[in-house]
Amino acid sequence: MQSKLVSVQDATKTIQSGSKLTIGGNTIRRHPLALVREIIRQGIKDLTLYVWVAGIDVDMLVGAGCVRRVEAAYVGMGPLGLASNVRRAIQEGRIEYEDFSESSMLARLRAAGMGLPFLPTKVLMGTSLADHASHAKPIICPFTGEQLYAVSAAKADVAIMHGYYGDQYGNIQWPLLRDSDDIDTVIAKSADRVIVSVEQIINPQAVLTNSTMTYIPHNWVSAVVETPFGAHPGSCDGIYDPDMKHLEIYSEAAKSDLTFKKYLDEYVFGSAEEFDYLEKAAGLAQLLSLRVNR
Amino acid sequence: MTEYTLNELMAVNVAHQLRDNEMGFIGVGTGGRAFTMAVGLPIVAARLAQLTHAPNFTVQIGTIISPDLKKIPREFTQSTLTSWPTAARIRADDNLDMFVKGKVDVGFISGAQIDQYGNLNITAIGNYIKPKVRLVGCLALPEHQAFAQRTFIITDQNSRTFIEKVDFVTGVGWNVNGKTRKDLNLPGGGPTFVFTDLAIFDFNAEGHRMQVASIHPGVTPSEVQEKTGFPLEFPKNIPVTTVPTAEEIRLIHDEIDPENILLKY
Repeated sequence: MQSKLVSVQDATKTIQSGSKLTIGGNTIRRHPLALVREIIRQGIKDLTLYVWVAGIDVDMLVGAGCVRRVEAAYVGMGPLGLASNVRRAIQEGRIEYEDFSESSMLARLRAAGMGLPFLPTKVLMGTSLADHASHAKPIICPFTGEQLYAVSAAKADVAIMHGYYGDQYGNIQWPLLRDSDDIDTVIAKSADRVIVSVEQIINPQAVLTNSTMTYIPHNWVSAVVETPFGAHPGSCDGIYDPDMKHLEIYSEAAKSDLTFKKYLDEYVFGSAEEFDYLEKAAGLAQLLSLRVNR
Repeated sequence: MTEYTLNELMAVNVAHQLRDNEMGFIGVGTGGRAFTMAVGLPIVAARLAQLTHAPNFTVQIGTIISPDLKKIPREFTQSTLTSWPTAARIRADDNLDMFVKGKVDVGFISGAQIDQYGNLNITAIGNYIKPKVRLVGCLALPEHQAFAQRTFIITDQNSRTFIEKVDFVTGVGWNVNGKTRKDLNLPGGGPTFVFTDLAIFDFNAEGHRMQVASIHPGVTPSEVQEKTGFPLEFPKNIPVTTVPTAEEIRLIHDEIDPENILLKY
């Protein structure tokens, strides 16, 4: 096994403008936000996003003008309500957007992970989703003759995701107790390349002796990055809760282009790297208060 | 006479419709009033059913299967959800497979718009491509409406929500543009009840149009019609919604939701 441990900057540099990107996590939980902030700093634009139940990750990229098109089952801020940057961008026609349900978006990502052009689904029957989707077409089952929809593979160039622990080779492990409401393994399989940020790089020996905890093996991974509190201001389940104080600052700022530009200037462009961001956005005392008691 | 809140009245009536050995599906991740309707109220109803007529009714909340409803978290945060004692936490992709296969008995859902056939919209108000108001998307609402054996719609009622035709069909009720569930090859049972702050509705046998099942105490039929954007069918003798018993209210206050977290908004 070869080391794949790189800096946030070097990992992000490999993402081209115009790429198709898929992102792990769920609403305000365990998104790779350190990588997202670096994408914004590096001025990577024109991205197409294939996501499942997304949140602040997509909202931040859309608010920073990095996105051309989104295909998703949801983009929202969980208990904080709507994702305002995304809402405004859709209402003003600044991004293309295609809706799918949770199982049909899952089917599209799975198809990509299986090397198939499409998978069949029943869920779109009768919905307006089917009327508008360019990636769903009616088909007849060749065995039973029943009506179905084919949904096309959502094949990304790059997957980015935030994991709990990993070794330098890119073996990513989950903890004993976690929130399982995500499809990170499906997302990892769907893309040509996978970049994973983790809370902590651990000793490879610890992986070898606990190998059933590895949910993304090193041979799926192109680069691994260590980003403590890398999902901030979202949560990393089992390790820290969401930073509601900063999320409220974020949600308030996201309500207009002007205030969100100020937010980005202060917290993203105003921080040369992630440690600067964490100090500015939260500070050590606040970060430590978010830790989950175990 | 037992005192009760409107949320308690709704929760008790939802509970009465739950059956022993069924599995209900409750979503996660909303706040305020939306949390009460989509998460809090169904949890109270499920636990009340367990404590009364349906001891083996279970729920799944997102990917959490059969959490211990004796130990409902006192606040819903990432860490309390993650450490809630439960039979299983399965992966979301496995969870959706079982849903699509028809393994959910009761789906609890809500929406920004609903029409007379129980079609729901949570995606966009106005034109889809350039909407007047963009909402959250779809989540698993299409799955609930397509695959659950029964869906219970829980929502506040006004003439902006209850309309003739939804702007966007996120989830299919009984009829879309003249096509029935059978025409559309949808395997689930479709919407069964609509519980609102004014009344309870079901769907008539012939055309599957929404009709009044009962009206809450103190509410008039004309008020219900006024807050509905399509003509409603009323039974000849309109039943009054069953009010909670003293024991049901005691269970909610003392055992299920002592700190009023689930029915607060």
